[in-house]
Formats: sequence, structure tokens, C-alpha cells
Amino acid sequence: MANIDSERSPSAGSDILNGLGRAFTKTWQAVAMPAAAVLVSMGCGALLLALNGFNGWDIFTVMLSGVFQDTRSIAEVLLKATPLILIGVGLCVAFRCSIWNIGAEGQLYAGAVATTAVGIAFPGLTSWIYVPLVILAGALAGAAWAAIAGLLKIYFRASEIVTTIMLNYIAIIATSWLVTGPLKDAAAAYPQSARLLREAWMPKILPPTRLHIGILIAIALAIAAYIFLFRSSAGYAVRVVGISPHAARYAGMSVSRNILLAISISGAMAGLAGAFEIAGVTFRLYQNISPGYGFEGIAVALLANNNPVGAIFSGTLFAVLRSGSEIMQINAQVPQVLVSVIQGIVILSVVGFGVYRFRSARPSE
Amino acid sequence: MKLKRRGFLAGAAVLAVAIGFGPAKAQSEFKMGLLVPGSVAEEGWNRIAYEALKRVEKELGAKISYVELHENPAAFENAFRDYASQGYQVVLGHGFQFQDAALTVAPEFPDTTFLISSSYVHEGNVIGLNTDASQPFYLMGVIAAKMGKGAGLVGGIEIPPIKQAFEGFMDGAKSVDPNFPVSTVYIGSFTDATAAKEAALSMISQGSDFVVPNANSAGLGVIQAVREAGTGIGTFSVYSDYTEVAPKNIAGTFVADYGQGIVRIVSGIRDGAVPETNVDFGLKDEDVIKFTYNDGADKPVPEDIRKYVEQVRAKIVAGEIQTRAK
Repeated sequence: MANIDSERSPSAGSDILNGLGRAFTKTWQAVAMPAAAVLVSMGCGALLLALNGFNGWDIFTVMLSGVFQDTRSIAEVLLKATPLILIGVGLCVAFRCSIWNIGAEGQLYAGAVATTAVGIAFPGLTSWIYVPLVILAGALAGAAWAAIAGLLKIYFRASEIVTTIMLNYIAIIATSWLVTGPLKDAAAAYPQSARLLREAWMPKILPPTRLHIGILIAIALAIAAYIFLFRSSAGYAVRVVGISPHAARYAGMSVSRNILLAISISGAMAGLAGAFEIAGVTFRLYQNISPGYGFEGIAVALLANNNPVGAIFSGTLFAVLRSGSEIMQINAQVPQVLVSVIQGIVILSVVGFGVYRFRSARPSE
Repeated sequence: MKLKRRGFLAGAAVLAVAIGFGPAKAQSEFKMGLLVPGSVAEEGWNRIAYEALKRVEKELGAKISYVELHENPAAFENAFRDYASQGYQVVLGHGFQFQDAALTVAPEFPDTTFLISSSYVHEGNVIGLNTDASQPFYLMGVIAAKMGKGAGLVGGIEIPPIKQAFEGFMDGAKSVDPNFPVSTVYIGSFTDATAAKEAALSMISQGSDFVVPNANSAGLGVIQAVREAGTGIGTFSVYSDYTEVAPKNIAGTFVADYGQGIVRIVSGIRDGAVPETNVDFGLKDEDVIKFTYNDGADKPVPEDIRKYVEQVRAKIVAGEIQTRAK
């Protein structure tokens, strides 16, 4: 790289300037654009609140003071951030490979089901074995569920956008069937599974809050995914396949193997999110175990520009919004429908700025 | 003397926080929070709780707040804590699904009473509230067996409260005539009025002359079917007053005024009288469970049967007749 640049550049001084300029553009794109997306959506949200007779600024302060009120409320934000970061990180890997996995929601359910099935089946195990076992079960189930879409793409050229969406429905409805049928807790009137055995519960890291060890695992995996994507040859191959499958094939890289790898990694991360929800938060399987984390994870990855480390921050931001939506209802009586509209605006503007960045980053393609 | 900039900034920040967040509210204010598993904008289950909450605000002068949680169990505990930690004296979780979360949170907040709809729980400050529909359904069964040849029951989804109500109906009918035929159908939906109507029409064609719904808004289909079948076929209006839809066929109306029940319980809690057991609204609670006759029907319930029903009602209230297996 440096050689090519210095041949182009007339002097070393302007070389440094060019480098600085590039670094500046990169930082600008990584930080300023997402920030702009958030600001624009906040402006729209304030306008919408004003039209409905609320003072936008008051609501904003109520929301932030509620979200960061005490240790518990901050722990709740991190608790919500955990699945969002996990899914976002996984989707960064898939999206870098140009695999448009819209099925994280279904993969989360697959993971949740596997974790529940394993977590109620083996009494007598110690936590040291049982907790890793249920987590592993969730990750493997998520990966397997995603791999179905990957294999359909490889062998039948079926668009993963369509197949992953369809697999979402299957996973969600199958979960409903399981908790009303085979996995239903016989003692309960409400459709829910039996409670996970105590030894399968993930350890809490900030008692008395509900925050569990999952947030640390999520952050560690985000960093690991970054190293994989940008500092390893296997990750390099995933990215090359994403940018140009033909070039990848020409360079001797297996396109289908990398597709399968990328979609399985994203599925495993979504499965982990499901595993953590069961083994760390609810300890039972319910019909609506995810409030849409799988879809929000797409926005998390896009806002992070498909950078796994960035997903730590964008995932936390979306968790703040999510916590804030409950606070806005409880402390300011903003109706849930209005809160949903505001969340929608945030996601739209995030995606909108993402498309703009995508276009401007590749003018020649 | 030079003004210390850092000190000034810190002072300003504290001031801003104090203004922004406002002073702590007086402790005496009575506050009630509500958790609903869906949207209060739609008619039905969640709306009932919302209207009860509005009545608590109006009649007891309480500060109220509600949150819609859309069946997301992971959020239940946190919402309970949000309210309890802000000093809400009463929090109502509207549905059995909130029971586990309330039991987990309640020991941390002994000054808050956690009410759970359609639950029989009573553990410390967690108190279940239930509306026992099996009692008015027992009365309906008595009337149907006294007046008709056979009855059909159209249920929404086979869940305990609906099954119990139907068992009450069958026990009531059998107390009059052990061989009185009662058939039951579950349409698998609380909204599909067409399916309810089809089920009712087929029951009528098979000889039922009383067809009674218990299927939320889908139940309207039963009322329509009975009206189309004409005179001789009777029904009861259940939970909502549909008398206008079939004024000639409806023999009686059962409505549960849950809001009134909530206002009574919550005002007791405000005055220091927290219920000592779980609350099960039944015919003894005449302000909550109301069963009335329709005098405008083609075949109104005759006076002698009304007298008999009144005796049965008294026995249920006295506990001499059990309408539901405990």
C-alpha cells in the first residue's frame, strides 16, 4: 500500500496529509454519520411528541434520568444490550460476506428452545459444566437453524433474505407449539416451560440487579469477531467473498464454504442471545421470548457500519432507547404506539444514513 | 477573589440536575401502576384494566401510570421494580403471566401491594384477583335446564377460566335435570365471530335451544346466530351487554364490573386494609358480578323460575353450592 501511495504522491509531506485526510474521512464516517442519524431521528421524535401535546425536551430528560437513575436501571440497559450486541456482532460478520441474514429472530428462538430443552433435562450436573453446556446448546441450535438457509443458498441458489424470513416464522410458531405442548409446564395454566434447573442459571455479576455474565461474553465476542474479520486470513476470505465472489474464486477461496461459515457464525450469535435470555433472565421458555431483538440487531449492525466493536456501542444505544420506551410510558405517559413510531424513525434514519454511506463509499461500483 | 471555575461548574451541574429532575414528591401521594400484556387502545382484556385504572384515578384521586409490555416476559420484573422503587403503593399485573415476576420482586418492596389478575395467589404482598364466572354460569345452566330441551356452549380457547365457567353451567343444568344434554365447542379463537356463528348454528340444528358464548368478541357471532334462528332459541349475553343485537332471544345478561372490584380493593389498600387472602369476585360481590333478566325477550324467564334461581344464588353465596372445583 505504502509503495503505491508514494509513487502517486509527489512528496512525503502530502503523503502524510493524505493519510490524515483518509483517517479523518474514516472517523467522520464511523462516528459522525451515525451521530447525525441519531440526531435527526431525535429531532423527528421531538416534533412528533410536540404534535401530540408533549414537551419533547421534558420527555427527553425524563427518559435519560430514568434510564440512568441508579445501578439497577443501568444494569437493565446492559441486560437489554446483551442480545442486541450479540446479534449485531453476528450480523456484522454475515453482512461483511454480503449474506443478508434477516433470520436472527428465528435463530434466537432456536437457541432459546435448545437451551431450555437441555436446561431442564439433566439434574445433578454442577454449574461449571451445566452453564457452558446450555450456552453451547443454544449457540449450536442457532448456527444449525441459520445453516439451513446457507445450504439452501449454496445448493439451490435460494435467496437467504426469503428463506431466513420464512425460517423465522417456523421457529417462532414451533416455539409456541412447544410451550403449549411437549415442553409445557404441567403445573402452569399459562403456556410456559418448566423452570431451568438452578445449576443451569448463568451467574449474576452485579447483585441485586439482574445483570448476568452474558454482557461480558458479548463484549469479548465482539472483540474476537473484530480480530477474526480484520486480523485473520479466514476473516479476510469472508470479506473478499462479500465484496466479489468472482475475485474470491479466482484467488482460490471457496465461496460456498465462506458463505456457510459467515451465516453459521451469525446464527450462533443469535442462538447465544436466545440462550442468554433463557439461562440468564427468564429461566423459562415463553411464547414471546424476544421482543424483536433479531430485527433490531440488523439496525445495530448497520449503525456500526458492520464493525463488531462498533456494535457494542450501537447495541447499547438501542438498549437505551428500549429502556427509555418503558420509562417514557411509566414516567411520562407517552403511549406505547407513539414510542414505537419514534423507534421506527430511529431505525429508518439509521438505515437511511447507512445506505448513503454505502453509496458514497463505493462510487465506482 | 477569583471565582473557582471548577466549583462553579459543579454547582451549576448540581443545580441543573435538581431543576431537571425536580424535587422529590410528597410521600403521602397515593399512586397505582398497571402492567398490561398488550395494547389498551383495543377493546377487550387490556382495556378492562385500563378503564379500572382510570376509575381509580377519578374516584380515589390517585396518581396513575400504565405500561404496555406486549407479552415480553423478560420485561415484567423490571416494570414491577420501576413502579415499586418509585413508591407506588399498588401495582396491578393484568394477567396470570405476571405472577412469577411479582413473586420475585415483591419481597424487596414490602410497602407495595402487587395485585395479579386471574390468579389465586396469596403470598405476602402478592394478591391474586379473580372473577369467578362459574357462579353466574351455574345460574344460566339452571335456567336453561328449567326452560329448554338442550344447551350448547361455544368457547373461545380452552383455557381454565372458560372451562371452569362451562363446568359451572353443566353442574347448574344437571342440578335441575341430570340427563339434560349440554354440548361444548371450542372455536380456537377469541376474535373469529364467523366460526362462533357457524358453531352456534350447527348446535341449534342439532336441537339445542339455549346457545351460550364465552369467547370474548367472537361471542357476538353466537348472538347473531341465535337471532337468525328466531323465537324459541335463547341465549345469554356474557361479559358485554348485547341485548340490542338480539332483544327477543337474550334471556339474561351477565356482566363483570372488574373496575368496580379494583376500585373497592385499591381503596381498601389505601386505607390500610390490604386483603388478607386472595380475592375471588363472585355472586356475593353484587357490585362486581351482575346477573340481570331481559323482560323484553319473547320467552322471558318466568317468575317461578326466577324465584328458584334466587334460592340457588343464595346457596352459592352462602357456600352451600360449590360451582367450581378448587
